[in-house]
Amino acid sequence: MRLTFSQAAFLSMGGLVAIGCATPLPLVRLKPDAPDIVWVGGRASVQKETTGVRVAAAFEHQDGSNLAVRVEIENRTTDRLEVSPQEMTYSVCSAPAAASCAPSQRVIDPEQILTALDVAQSRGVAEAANSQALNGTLVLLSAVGDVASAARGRPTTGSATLVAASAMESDAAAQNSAQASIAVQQQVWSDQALRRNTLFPGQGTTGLVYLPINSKATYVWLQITVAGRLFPFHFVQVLTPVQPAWAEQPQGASEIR
Amino acid sequence: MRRLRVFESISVDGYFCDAGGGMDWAHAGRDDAEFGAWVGGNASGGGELLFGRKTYQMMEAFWPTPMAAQQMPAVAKGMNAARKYVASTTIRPTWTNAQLLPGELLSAVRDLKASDGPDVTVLGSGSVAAQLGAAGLVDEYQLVIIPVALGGGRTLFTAGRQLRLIDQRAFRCGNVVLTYAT
Repeated sequence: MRLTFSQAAFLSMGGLVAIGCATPLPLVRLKPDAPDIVWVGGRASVQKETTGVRVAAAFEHQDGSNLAVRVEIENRTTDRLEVSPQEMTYSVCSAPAAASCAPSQRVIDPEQILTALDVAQSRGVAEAANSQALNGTLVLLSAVGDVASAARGRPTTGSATLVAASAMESDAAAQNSAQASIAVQQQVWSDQALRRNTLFPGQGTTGLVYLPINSKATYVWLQITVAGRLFPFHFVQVLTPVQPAWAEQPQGASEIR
Repeated sequence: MRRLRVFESISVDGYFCDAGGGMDWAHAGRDDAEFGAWVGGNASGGGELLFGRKTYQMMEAFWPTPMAAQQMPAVAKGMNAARKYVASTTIRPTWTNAQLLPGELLSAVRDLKASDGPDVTVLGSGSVAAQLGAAGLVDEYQLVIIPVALGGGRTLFTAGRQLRLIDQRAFRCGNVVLTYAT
């Protein structure tokens, strides 16, 4: 008895539920493994600075089979800098020791995703690009250092940080790509993902960096390279099993047909 | 004459959705490599598809996405390439190769079956499948019996029907796949 594509598709549906008899994917969270955590809008962020470049990173949300980490980068040098996801890698580890880590891999390249979406829908999506670089609010960094003020040329207030953090929450709620249409996916990858940017002195950029979930990992390194400077961020990965909804609330399951 | 097949997950007491309209229970059970391999590694071919609105919207929201292409590339490719008919008066399909069934459901499906082309499969879409079955338009049922008793819900069969078992397979997780000809 062979299945058709469509029958396999039907049986494997259920959003984030794995194939057939499988249970739902666990919740996956990344907690910074660092002593100097700063909480910003509910996110545990860590920042690092090397020779005039400041970088902050905080786990944002789980997006289906990917993890989204918000990254902010500020150029305090006198030179222009290039920021690119292609200079960002991750490594998953089974123990704190580096020997337990798998080889580093590049984070998901938003440009490749956008190209795939473009092909899928046979229409252009790439124009929406890089203007976010100068407009993005540096929530993580601004909470501790008035970075947004430097980048945008006006004072930073606590309320602005809160508003920005609230907006980030809204973005996160809107980013369940597994349930989203192509149009929404295009918007997420075009507007929310951290894309290649040129940072002039005093400028900053922010966006989401996506890496695939490895449910067997216990530690995750995110390595961000900016103009030859390496900023490693160490996270502890926490998995929380999810029971099928029917098992807990038989009458509360969502209608799908 | 095209054949019309209904492919549906149902509970052991015969419901395609529970009393609240949900069907998360259809994914219940233990992890079972055998069933997973059957679903994920054995798919081929296809034919054309017929959906009700709700199942269509669920499918449209996932299979055209990069995530689907990443997780199940062959299935995603097959789903996107397949011709899809949608029974709805409220939506306009945007998925590649998807189109609305024209006019009233039963007459549209009769016309579809009478036209040239490959066989048509109704995926899920329980209310549509029930209407087509009651009208005698279904040639084959493929039912995945999930080992869950719901105690109530909606049934595929609103009228008595004699069926002939033509294939069967049981899985360790308790799922049983039964194929019946009408």
